[in-house]
Amino acid sequence: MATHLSVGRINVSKLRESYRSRLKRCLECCEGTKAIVWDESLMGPFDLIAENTLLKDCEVIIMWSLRAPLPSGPAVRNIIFFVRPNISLMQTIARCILGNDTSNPFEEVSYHLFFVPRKNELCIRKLEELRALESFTNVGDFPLEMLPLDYDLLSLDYSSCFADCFINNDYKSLHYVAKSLMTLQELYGTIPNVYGKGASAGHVWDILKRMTREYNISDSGKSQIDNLLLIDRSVDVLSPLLNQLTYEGLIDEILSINNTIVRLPSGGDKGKVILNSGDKVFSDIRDKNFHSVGAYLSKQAKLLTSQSNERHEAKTVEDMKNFVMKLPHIQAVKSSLSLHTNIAHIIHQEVHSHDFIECLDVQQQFYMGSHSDKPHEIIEKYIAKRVSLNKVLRLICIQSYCSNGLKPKVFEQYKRDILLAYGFENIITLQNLERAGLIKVHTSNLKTYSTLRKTLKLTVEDVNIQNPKDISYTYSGYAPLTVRLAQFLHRPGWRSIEDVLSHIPGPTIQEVQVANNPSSFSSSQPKCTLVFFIGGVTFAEIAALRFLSQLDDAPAEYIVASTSIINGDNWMKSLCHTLTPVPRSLNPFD
Amino acid sequence: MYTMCWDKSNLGLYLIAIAPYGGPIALLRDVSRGPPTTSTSMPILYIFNSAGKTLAQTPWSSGKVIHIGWTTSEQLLCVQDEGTVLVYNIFGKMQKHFGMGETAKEQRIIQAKTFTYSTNTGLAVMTSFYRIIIVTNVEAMNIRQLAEISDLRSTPIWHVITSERSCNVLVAKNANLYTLDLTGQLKLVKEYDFESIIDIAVSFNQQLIAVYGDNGGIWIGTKDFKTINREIRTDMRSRPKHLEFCGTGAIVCCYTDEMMVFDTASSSSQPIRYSLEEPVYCSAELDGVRILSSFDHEFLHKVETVLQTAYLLGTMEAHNQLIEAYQQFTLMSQKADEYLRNITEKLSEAVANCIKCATLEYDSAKCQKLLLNAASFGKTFLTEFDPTDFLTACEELRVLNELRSPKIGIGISYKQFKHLSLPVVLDRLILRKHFALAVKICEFLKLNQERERIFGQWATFKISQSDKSDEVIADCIVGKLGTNYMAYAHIAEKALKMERRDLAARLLEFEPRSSKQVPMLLKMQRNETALSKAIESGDVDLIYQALLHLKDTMAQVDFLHMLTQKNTQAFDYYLQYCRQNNRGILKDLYSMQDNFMLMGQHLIMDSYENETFTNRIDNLKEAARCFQKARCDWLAKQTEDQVKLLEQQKRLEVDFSQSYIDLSLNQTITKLIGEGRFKLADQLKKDFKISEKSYYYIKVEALAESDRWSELEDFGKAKKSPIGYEHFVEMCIKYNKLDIAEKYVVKVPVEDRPRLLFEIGKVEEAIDLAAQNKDIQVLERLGGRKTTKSQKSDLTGAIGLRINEKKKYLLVKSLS
Repeated sequence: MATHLSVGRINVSKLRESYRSRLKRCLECCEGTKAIVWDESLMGPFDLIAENTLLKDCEVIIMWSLRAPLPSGPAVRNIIFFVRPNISLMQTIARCILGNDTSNPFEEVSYHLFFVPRKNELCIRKLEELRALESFTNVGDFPLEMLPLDYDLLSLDYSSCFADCFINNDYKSLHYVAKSLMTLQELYGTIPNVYGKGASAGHVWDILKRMTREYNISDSGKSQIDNLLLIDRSVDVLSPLLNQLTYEGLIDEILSINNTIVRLPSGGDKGKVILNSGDKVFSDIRDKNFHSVGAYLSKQAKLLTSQSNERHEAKTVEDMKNFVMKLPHIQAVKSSLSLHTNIAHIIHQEVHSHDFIECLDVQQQFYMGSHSDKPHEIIEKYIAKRVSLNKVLRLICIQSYCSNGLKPKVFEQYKRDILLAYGFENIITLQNLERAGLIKVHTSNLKTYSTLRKTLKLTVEDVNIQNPKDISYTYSGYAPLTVRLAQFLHRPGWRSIEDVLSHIPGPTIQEVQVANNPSSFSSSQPKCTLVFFIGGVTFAEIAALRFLSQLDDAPAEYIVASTSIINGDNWMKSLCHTLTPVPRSLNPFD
Repeated sequence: MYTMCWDKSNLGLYLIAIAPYGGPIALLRDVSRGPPTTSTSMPILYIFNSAGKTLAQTPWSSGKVIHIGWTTSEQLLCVQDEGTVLVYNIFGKMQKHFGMGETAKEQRIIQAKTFTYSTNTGLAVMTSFYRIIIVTNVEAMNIRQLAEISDLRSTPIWHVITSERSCNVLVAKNANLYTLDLTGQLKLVKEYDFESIIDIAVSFNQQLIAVYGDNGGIWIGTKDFKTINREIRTDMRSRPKHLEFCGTGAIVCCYTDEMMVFDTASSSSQPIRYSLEEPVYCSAELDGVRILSSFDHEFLHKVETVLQTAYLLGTMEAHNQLIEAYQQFTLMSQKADEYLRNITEKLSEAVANCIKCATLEYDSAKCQKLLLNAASFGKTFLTEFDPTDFLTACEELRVLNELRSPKIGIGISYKQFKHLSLPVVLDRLILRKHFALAVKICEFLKLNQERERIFGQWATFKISQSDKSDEVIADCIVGKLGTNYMAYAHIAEKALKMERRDLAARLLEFEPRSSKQVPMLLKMQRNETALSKAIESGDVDLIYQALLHLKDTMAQVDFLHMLTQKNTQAFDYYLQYCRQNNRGILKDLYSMQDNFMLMGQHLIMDSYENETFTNRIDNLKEAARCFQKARCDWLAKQTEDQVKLLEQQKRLEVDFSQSYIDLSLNQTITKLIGEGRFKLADQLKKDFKISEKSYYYIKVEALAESDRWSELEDFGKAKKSPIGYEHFVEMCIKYNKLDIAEKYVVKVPVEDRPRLLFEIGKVEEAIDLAAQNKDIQVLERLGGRKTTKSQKSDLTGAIGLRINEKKKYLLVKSLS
């Protein structure tokens, strides 16, 4: 289990182990049989660290998702709630435990409540107010922070980070990011060099400095990570808006991946598939441009056929034995191939549809700078036809970004068209996007995007998709800015792009945490760099970073951490706020 | 152990209390003994350390004391005959006092005994009416009166015996021994064959009891009286001055001029006799007896066999030989080798024993050194030797020797030291204000946490020095603890308890952890500082703790004033809180801030929460006014338009009894067209200035959706479509009218036609046309497309072939 986590530059299973032992201790504190009540949003994250047998070993005999009243079940000594510190859940919890006492089957039961990752004042107050707090024997924290998604990928599963910071001026996620970095440094050593770009990055660095002082940690020796690069999502809003064209990116956009799990449309329970590097076939194709996936799959299929045909050529007992030895491997590859052929088929249908191609064309026109600053007629058409609002908003945001803001007239026309077509209830959504700077009016003559595009070579024509030489293959022609920053950090260094960096809003951080800390590895080995995306990262960006790590003369290997994994749709959703009217009164005179 | 450095003589005149575990000694002149003191001079309460160094001397101005005794936390209890108990610390400062109840006051106390019950100290007193009153824990006063015992002698013989769960009083009445438990039950436990009992002793561990009879016999047995260990015959028939156990192995009887020590187990052995030149005082310890005279302070204890055999000539014990070997080695004698060879097999045992012996020795300069050196010498010949024990012993001995030095005067044995544990020993050092030594010990043993704790205690002590200014104290503390010290908030709290608010504030400045600092600041009502520190920390939870605390404790006006004037970031968080918990107040907050933009937004949100139509409209109208105030004309206009739309929809609902409200404008138009109300639809288009293009998209779809194909045809023909005819085709396909679609395909520009042809099932035509257009990209895309439902799957192959063929043809052509 989870062996795929221990193959990277840092051993991610160490992190997973620390959560597991913590969970065990946490459960052992409550003696006797247990029932666990899960906040549904936590089931995926906990699946990543603890399998059912671990819970069973700790006398967990039943699990429910949080819903009031609790269903009846076997009698248990303890009922343990694991929840996110989300005020709206407190009411439900209160109803669960204060439910009508007369029919309460759990008479001798003690209640425990664990907030993940940490309790907060508002929730505690709410429980107090609902008179539920005193019913708990134990109210504690379970600091599950970074989820080990893969050997090089960690996520806080905190999808509202960007919206919180840029719409609500609520920076609790940044504290959380800093906290998780402290935990990581406890496990893997203090990271000597810190770089960063963007307002949130600056904030996190400030908190991190403060925490280092507060916790007064003794230096745990050599660090396994050489550099930390903090990137604020607001530095590059374009990459998540564009359609990702890598295999995994497309699976996420079309079928959506949650904590490494994707549910295939047909197949019910069987349709639940875990996607990680433990699957060899998937690990080979996840980061490829989708257009080269088909070729890979058919090549593998042929190889497999020839391998299984070896049994016909087996003449001696020895040959046969060799073949039988290989059999389980062949079986595994076979089922994995059939799974991915199936998924690739679904994606193929989608990416060859007229709508998809048309939309991609529009995106390309924008980022190549080949569209004028007029309203785009395809966008106008989409609005009039009321295609999914997300898609429309994504395109408008792209246009706004690539033309350094829209002309006031265009800006207002788009917004008005949206209100008339999709309804006035989207007014707050539009305000939010404006507040977050995703749609804005062209104000100055600064041509930030075109400067960035030129100096950082964000767009590339004639991309070699089959044998990529550059990260721009991930979007078939666009290289994500964030990854370019990571790339330039090591070669030729940020000093050479200081001018460009000053064009990007927010502070630039280049600091040293631990002076003269000799890297734990010889200098000939590439440096290990942790790139932390504050506000979310896309699979295409991850693919691009992996591509850089795998280059022959790579100066650095990357580990990716993020507040959450995002794609254009779920990111847009996190920023939207659609109002729904309450049912109207039936008063005939109204 | 010590030669006393005091100037006291004739201890017989004093009430004496010696605290166990090498604790302090208290002396108070007993007014009932010896020559009466002159009435002018008051008796003096002296407190010394074990070596006789004065810790305190205070004139005794209170009443008649009949007993003094130490508690487990080294506080001195002074019991007065009228029932008051005064509690002093080791520096002779009175801490508190308590009474033993009304009965004690009325009947007067004639005797008292302190005892240890679980980890607390208890006190039992005997009144002149022979009633015993007992307190099992002097920290938590709970006075119990036990039964009155009739017919006791004028000097009652009694003793308290405790175990983990119970606490009994042993009372002697003639030759009978009774127990009296806490419920007051009197039970006869033993009858003796002598006339009467004249003394009772209980061993330190509360397991053995000794009863002294008037026939000079001592009966020693277990506390349940079932096993008799020994009956000793002395020829002394009078009550001894002191009768104390020495550990559990021996019992000490002190008479006026002689002291006898009896083995408690072996009946044959003869007593060891010491003659006494002056009165002594005995006090039991865990593993021996402390014997105090005016000259010196001795510790009488059993020498362990291992130590006995260490130096004796002629024993063949391995460690004895090892010591000999070492000594020969230092003399450079080859005999060393001989001795070593004798014990090669027992060498590791010998080393271990040497280490053990060292810990039992008191003489640091000679014996400990010799033994440790011998052990060290021995271990060099061992290949696999775990040095932990050796190192621990060295470290512990160093600590012990420091503790035993006359200056510190904690005369503690190794066994007592281990029993007490290091943290308790450190506490005792702190109690004696030997902070420097305590810190040194922690540094020596690398106990960082303990060190921090001691620093904290030291700081607390500093704060209590009321004669120094806040500034001096703060500088002194910060100078010592540095800025890395982690518990300033804790010290500040102590300062606050001692009513030194300014000092507390000064110290709190240095607390690095905001999570500790902010709550303290709130406690001290430094509201603004608390809030800004919370914000600085970036910890939103802390910000809310501060905010909500202030909200609850401050007057609302002041609270809001503080937020709006001084701390916009805090205000944002408060808004956030109100959005979730107190929407009602939001409007006021926005208007305080003159934030009409957010107020407008808020009103819009509210309007969607309203059940009645008129309220919704009112909210929206107010919102529009807010937007105007905020100079957002565009938003105001949109909001007004929404009001207009709602009002029109309302009218439509009245006219047609259909529901329109909550549809968007486009949806309303679609619905009207679907219902055939074209004129109304056109009117809405005009009223809301919908562009011609948009209107075409809406109307074409609405007509197709409602199956109005002839109307669609008319509409398409009325004038040239501003959006072309692709949309017409798509709608026909969507509603499955492929034949009608065909009519529109020809109107579509030729480059867009192949895709549409393909979708309506004219696959070959589509491919041919694409080829004709020389459009490889479209050909490729067609290759990837799924075919419409009307096509059979076996055709896919054929289509693929055809496409490839065309592609090749085109490629060849372009090459040539």
